[in-house]
Amino acid sequence: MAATNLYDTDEVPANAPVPDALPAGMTPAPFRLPPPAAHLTAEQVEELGRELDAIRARHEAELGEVDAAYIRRMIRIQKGLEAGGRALLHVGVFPPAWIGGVAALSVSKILDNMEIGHNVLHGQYDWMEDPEINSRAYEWDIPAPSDQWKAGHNVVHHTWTNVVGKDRDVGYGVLRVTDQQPWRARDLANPVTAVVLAFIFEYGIALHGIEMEEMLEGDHPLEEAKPLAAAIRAKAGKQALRDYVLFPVLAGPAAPVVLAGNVQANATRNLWAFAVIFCGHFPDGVEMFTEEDIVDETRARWYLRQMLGSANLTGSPLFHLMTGNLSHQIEHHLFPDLPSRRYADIAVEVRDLFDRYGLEYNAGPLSTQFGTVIRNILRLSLPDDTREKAGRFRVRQELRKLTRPMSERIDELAAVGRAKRRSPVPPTAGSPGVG
Amino acid sequence: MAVHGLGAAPSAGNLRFRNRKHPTCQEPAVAPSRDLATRPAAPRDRRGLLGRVGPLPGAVRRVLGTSLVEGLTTPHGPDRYLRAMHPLWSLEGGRALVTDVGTETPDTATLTLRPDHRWRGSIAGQHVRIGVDIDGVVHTRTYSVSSSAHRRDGQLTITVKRKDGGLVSGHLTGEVEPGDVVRCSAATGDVVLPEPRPARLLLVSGGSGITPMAGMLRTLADEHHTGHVTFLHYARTRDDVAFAADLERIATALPDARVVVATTADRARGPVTGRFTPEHLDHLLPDHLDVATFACGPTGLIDAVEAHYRAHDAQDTIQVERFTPPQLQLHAGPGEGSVRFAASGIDRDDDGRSLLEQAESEGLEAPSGCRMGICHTCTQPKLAGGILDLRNGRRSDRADEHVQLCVSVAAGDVVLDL
Repeated sequence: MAATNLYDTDEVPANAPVPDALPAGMTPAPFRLPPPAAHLTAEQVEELGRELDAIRARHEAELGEVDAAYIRRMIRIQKGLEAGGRALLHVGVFPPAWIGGVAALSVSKILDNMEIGHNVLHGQYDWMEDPEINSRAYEWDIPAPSDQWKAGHNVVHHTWTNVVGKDRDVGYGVLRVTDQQPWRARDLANPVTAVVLAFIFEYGIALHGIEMEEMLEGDHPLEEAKPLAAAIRAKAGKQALRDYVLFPVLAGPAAPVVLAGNVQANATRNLWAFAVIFCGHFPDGVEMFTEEDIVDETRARWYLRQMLGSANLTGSPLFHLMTGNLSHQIEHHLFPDLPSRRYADIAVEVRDLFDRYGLEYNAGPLSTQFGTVIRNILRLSLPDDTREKAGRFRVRQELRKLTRPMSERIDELAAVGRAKRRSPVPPTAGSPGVG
Repeated sequence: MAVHGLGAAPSAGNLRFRNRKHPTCQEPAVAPSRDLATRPAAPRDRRGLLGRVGPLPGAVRRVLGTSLVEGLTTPHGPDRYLRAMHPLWSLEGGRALVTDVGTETPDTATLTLRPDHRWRGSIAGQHVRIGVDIDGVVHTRTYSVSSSAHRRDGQLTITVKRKDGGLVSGHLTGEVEPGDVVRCSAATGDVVLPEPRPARLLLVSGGSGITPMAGMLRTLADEHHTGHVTFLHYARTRDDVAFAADLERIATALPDARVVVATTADRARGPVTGRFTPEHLDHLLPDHLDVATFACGPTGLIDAVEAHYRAHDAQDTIQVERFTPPQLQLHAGPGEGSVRFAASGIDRDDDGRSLLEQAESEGLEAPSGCRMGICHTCTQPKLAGGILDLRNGRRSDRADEHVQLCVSVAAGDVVLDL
C-alpha cells in the first residue's frame, strides 16, 4: 500500500493531536475540521481520501461471480423463509407452528428490507446488468415506493449525511437527536414519539419520503405531495391487503391466527430496523455538522464526514447479516454502492486508517450503542440548560403553555377540594369518644 | 441444384461434398444439423432438486397469473418466487435451456435451445438476443436464428463463431454445456424473407453472416420451395464454412438452388474466388440487379455489395444486415471523440466534461442527485462506445451497459440511449 503512517515519526508521537506541530511543508486546514479530526492538515485529509479511493478501486476490481451468487442466494433464502413462514402460520393454531411461522416471516421481511432491498436499491449490484437485480427496477416489501425512498435516502441522506438542516434523517423531522437541533416544546414528547415511530417504522419511512413533517410545519405545499402520497397509498394498500386480508382469509377458520402472525412479523421487523438504523447515526460520539462545515467540501472531506458521522455495531456474522450489514455503517457510508458482503473485509482496512490518522472508530455492541441512543433521546427531550435555573424556568413555561387548559381545570377541581376540606363536618353524637 | 466451392476438387463444375456420408443427408428437413450421437444423451443436471423439471405448463402459468396470486406476492410478483425455485420458471419468460452444443468448424459452435413461452417462433432471417452470466455480469449479444422457421419441436439453433478476445462468443463456444440456462428474447428483425416468396432469390454472405442465410435456406427447404435461389458465401478457407454438410442437404431439397462458396484466403478453384467484386455477381447471376437480394456479413463486404446495387439504382431490390456496428473510436482520451444521445438524435463533439453535464447542456431530461457517484440517480444506458470512470480511471468499452453519467467522461466516441 502506498499509504505512509503519518504519525509514525520521531517528531510526532502516534495519534497525538498535533495542530501546533505540523510536519514541515504542511499547512493547517483552511476550513474548520470537526473536533475529532482537528489535528489533521488539509494534505492529510486529502491523503486519507486517496487511501479510501484505493480501497474502493480494489474492491470494485474484484466484483464478480461471488457477489452475484451471494445476492441471488440471499433472494432465494428470503423467498424460502417467506413461503415457509406463511405456510407455518396457516397451521398456526399449534403454538410451535405459530412461533416458527412468525420467526421465519420476520426474518424474511428483515432480509428483504435490509440485506436485499436496501442494498440493491443503493446500486450495489448494478454492475451485474441483471434486469431484475438493480437499483432502477427493484421493489421491496415496505410501504415506501422505491423511487421515493431512493430520492430521500441515496441522494439526500447519503450526500448530506449528518448536516443539520440538510440531512432530513437527523431525527427524521420528528425527533431531537442532537444538541445542534434547537430545543422546542414538542421535543418533550421525544420518548413517546420514538416508541410510536419504532412500532410503525415502515410507515414512518414512507411519510418521511413525502416530507410530511415539513408539510405539517407549512414549509411545503400540500399539492406537491399528492401524487407521492397516492403512490404510497397504492403500495401500502396492496401490502396491507396481502398481510391483513388475503392470507388470513385463505386460512379460513385460522384467519385470526394468521392475521396475528402477520401483524407480529411486521412489528418485529419494524422494531429491529428501528433499533439498527438508530444505532447508525444517533449513538454517543457521532459528529453532527453545520452547513458552513461543508462549504467547498472535497471528496476527501466528504469521506471524513462519513467516518465521523456514522457508528458501527459489533457482533457475529449472522448478526451482521440480520442488520443488512448496516452494522458496518461506517463502511456503508464510505462506499454505499459496494456489495454489503464486502463491508466486513473493508472494515479491517478502514479501521487501520482510523488508527493511523488518529481518529476514533465508533463501534460497540447493540446493547451499548442502543443504550446511548435511548439515553440521548430522553436527555434531548429537555433543553440543554435544564440544570440551570433559567432552563428549568423555560421548561416550566413551555409546559404551562401546553397544559394551561388542563391545569386550569385541575386548579378548579383543587379549589373545590380545598373548599370542602375547609368547611369541617360537625362531629356526630354517636361517635366514639376519646377515652 | 448445385453446390460450388465446397468440394475438394470440383469436377465438371459440379458438386463434391466434404462428407458424402453425413447422416443429415438422409434426415427429414427438421432434423438438427449435427450428429447427436457425439454428445451426452441427457443434459447435465446443473440445477439441483428441480433440475429435471421442465418449464411451467401454460395452465399453471394461467393460475399464477391471476390477480389473487399477484395480490399474495406483492410487491415482488410471482416471478421472483418462481425464479428462485427454477431458472426456467417465470410468467415473464425470456430463458432457454441449452439442449445441445455442436461444433461446426474448429471455432464455431451451434447451440440448440429450448426457449420458454416468451418465444413465439421466428420468421426466416430474424435474430434473438442471448444473455449469459459471465463472472456475475449479464452480457447480451444478438445472434441470427440459424434453424428453420418451420421447426416443429419448439427449439431453435444459433451458430456462434469465436472471436479473438470475444467474451461472449468465447463463453458460448467454450463454456456452455447442455443443461445450462441462457437468457433468450423473442425473435426480432425486419430483414426477413418476404411473403409470398420471390420467384428468384440471391443470398450473399460472408463469414458468420452465413447464419441467417442458413435459417432462410432451411426454411425454404422445409417449404419445398421451387423458385430459383443463388447462395454466394465468402469464407477464408473451405474449412471455415459453417454448415458445410447441411448446405448439401439443402441443395438437395431445393430443386433450383445453387450454392457457391468463394474462398478468400486459399483461392480454391470454383466459379468465383477471392474477395467480392461485382463481377462475381455478373458471372453467377447476370440479371442479379432485378433479383430480390439479401446480404449479411462483415461491414466491408456489405458496403461493397450495397454500393454496387446503389450505383445501378437497384437499392430497392437489396436488403442488408451488417454484423459489425459502425466503427467507434474507443481508445481516445476525453475531449477527443463524440457523444451521441441516440434517443434524442443529438450528436455533439465531446468537450471533456462529464456526460451528465453534456446531456444537461443539450437540454435533455437527465435526472441527477449527488453528482459524486454515490446515489445512482443519473444512471443511464450506454449503447456503445468508451467511457472513463473519473473516480478510479477505469475504462469500459462494452456494449449495452449502464453508466453513472455524473462520474463518467467519454473516452473516444460514446453512444447513450438518452
